Amino acid sequence: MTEADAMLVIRPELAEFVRIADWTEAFAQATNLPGRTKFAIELCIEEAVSNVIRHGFANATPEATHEHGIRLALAQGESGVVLTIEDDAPAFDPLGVAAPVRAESLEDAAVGGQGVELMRRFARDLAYERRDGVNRLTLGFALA
Amino acid sequence: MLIETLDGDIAKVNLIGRMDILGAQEIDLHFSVVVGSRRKVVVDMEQVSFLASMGIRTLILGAKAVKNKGGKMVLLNPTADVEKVLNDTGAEAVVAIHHGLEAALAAVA
Repeated sequence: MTEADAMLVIRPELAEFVRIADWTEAFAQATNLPGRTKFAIELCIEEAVSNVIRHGFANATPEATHEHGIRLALAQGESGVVLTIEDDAPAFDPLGVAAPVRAESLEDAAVGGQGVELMRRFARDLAYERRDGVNRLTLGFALA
Repeated sequence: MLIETLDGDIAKVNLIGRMDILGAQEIDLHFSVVVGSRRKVVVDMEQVSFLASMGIRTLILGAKAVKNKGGKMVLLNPTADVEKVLNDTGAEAVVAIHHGLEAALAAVA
């Protein structure tokens, strides 16, 4: 792993989140990443990857999860950090999810559905593309 | 996760570490027992280093459970990044955040 970029491939399983945490920590140390930027990246990875697992691979059999992967890449440039998340699940555009209505009371508060909203607010740039059977989510982060 | 009982039968729940998917899972059972049985709950977030939507889910479900029993749950001293997550999801509009223990205790008393 160079100082500037890193890649990780995980199986679409929640247990893989431990590996993600170690990987982002290593990248943050190697690049002297500001704490706020690291927080934002980790949050967006968590939301995006759990969406991919929950929606993209919702009907995957245990065998299928071992054949498929989610590829994460981090690259640091002068203007910030770019995070790329690719998976080969069926086409799923996470940015097409409507923003949740903000609840006024605890009774109305919905549980769940805030992942995309969080990505919009914590990442500077956010783009989705489907190409060659792959979902690709690209997020840009400023160095805080 | 550590629990203290303060004067007035207030349960102070000290969450520690990451409230990501795995962290939320780890505390889920224990937290459910507290919110299922206590009417005055202060969740001390000062040592929570990370919060994502599954962690928020745990907090909101907890607040609902306490409220359903006629009680109240509030959050105490989240760090700036954690508070931003709470604000951005609208969670802070439905579960009050307090900075300062006295204010939190007064809110649930």
